[in-house]
Amino acid sequence: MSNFLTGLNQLDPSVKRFNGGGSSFTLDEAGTTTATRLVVGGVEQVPGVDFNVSGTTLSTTSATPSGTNNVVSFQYFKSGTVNTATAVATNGVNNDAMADDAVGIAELSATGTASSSTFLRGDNAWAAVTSPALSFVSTQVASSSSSIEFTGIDNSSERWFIEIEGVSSSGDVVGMQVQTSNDTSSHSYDSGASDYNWAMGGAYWSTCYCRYDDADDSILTAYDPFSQGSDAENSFSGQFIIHNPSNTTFHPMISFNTWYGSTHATPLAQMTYGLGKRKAAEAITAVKFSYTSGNIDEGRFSLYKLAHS
Amino acid sequence: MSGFLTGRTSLTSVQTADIADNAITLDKLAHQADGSILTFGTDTAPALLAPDTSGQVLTTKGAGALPSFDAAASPALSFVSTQVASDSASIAFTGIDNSSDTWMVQMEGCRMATESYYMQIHTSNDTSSHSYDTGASDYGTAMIGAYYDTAYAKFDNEDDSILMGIDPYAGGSDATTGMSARVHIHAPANTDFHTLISWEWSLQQTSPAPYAMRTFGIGKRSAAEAVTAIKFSMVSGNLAEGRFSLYKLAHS
Repeated sequence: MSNFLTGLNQLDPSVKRFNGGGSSFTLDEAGTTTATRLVVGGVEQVPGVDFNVSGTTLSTTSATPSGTNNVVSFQYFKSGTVNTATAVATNGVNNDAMADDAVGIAELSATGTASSSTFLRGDNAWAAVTSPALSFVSTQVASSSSSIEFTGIDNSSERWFIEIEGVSSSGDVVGMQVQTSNDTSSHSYDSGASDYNWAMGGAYWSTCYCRYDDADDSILTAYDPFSQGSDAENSFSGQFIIHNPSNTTFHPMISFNTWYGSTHATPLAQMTYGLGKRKAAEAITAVKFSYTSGNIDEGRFSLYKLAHS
Repeated sequence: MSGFLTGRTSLTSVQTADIADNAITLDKLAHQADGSILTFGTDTAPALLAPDTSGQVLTTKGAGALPSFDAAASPALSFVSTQVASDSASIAFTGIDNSSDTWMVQMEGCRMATESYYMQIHTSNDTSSHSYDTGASDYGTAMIGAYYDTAYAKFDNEDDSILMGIDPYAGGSDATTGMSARVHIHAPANTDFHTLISWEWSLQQTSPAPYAMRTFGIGKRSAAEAVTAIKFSMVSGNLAEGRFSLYKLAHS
């Protein structure tokens, strides 16, 4: 039969009992600390911590309790290691031999650093959770709505997007307009006669037009000759960007691209691109879309934000 | 005097202090059902999470609750497919549907094979053979752009394609002249409206000098029908090279 501790110089078992009260004991065989077991009063002692062996002398680090035959030494080997990890054969620790709860994070061989913001991947690496660059925030569907509003715009992003698709208007010859709020509770929207200004360009038939208004009660995305029609096959799509809405030093800007069908003369595809601003150094916390006249009959408005870290 | 048994619950089992840090490699972990995930239960003890259904993602339920596998939330912007032109007569994307209201085609590193031509778009609402509409009044186009020091507006209310450029906005074909574009297909599944397709087309011209230009435009399929496929081509000649990639934007 092979020995459990292969390669060690085995002795005939040498068990010796001593009377307690001292801290130095003489063994029958010369040995080493890690090849010797010591039990004091029925409690096994830790080699190298509670006792040491040099030659035939066993020294305890504290005086042993007084008693008769209450100190017992066990010598199975002249050299080698007992009760340490190196005594375990390769792959010798199986599931049955391992105590419940024995493996903590420190014992795992994963690379990287475990923390409250990392997770353990399948390749045994602690990895950080990354946010997507573009995040969907919310969506709303118009149904004969006088307006569509988005609240909760904050400093979690410096660039917020609103995509508008499949919108139709109840009124003919109308334009989409935007108003803003910096009120985080009741969301009252600014509508003073000079609260906004805007500038836009666009193509109307074969002519380029530029339009602007330096003092208006909303940001207009269309102005004569640009206007949306209300007939059944005309729709409006747009992309709006709210720039740096939580900055309170600048007048916040909202840029836009709009595309729509016009009823004029013949149904013609039209487009505008432009920029508006709220003429106040205040944060924008909410925006409201409406038509210059009539309702938003249908269509989807979706809010997104771009990560900056 | 400390005892060897102090703090231990067994002399015959390996306990935490017996295990060296970093000793537990993946190979040392017990085998479990394939696809299972190791987590920790509300009693703080290790627990296995069953794989659940293919395609689901792990979702935290916050402190004090087990995570679970749930249907994956779509990313805001999803890549759909890509194609690379190689002296191609056209590049077409099919499978456009109501899973998104905003579809986007991004073109990069493209070059036309024939000098001084325009890119054009055709659409289809045929979900099987994908025949593209080419009637003389199937589409309308309007655009604006800068040509040297002049802004031109161009339109065609009845055409057999959506033109992304009209004279003077024409690209060049010499080796150093590329073009890029971003095209949006708006609410393609809506069958009430004429479908709108907008674009930004960045291009260069060979004659009289290599010159950078850009057009912004809007086109529409003049029919109240869904657009299920889109095809890009040059008015004359092939697409010599370049990548066309299709994406879609989530609305939930």
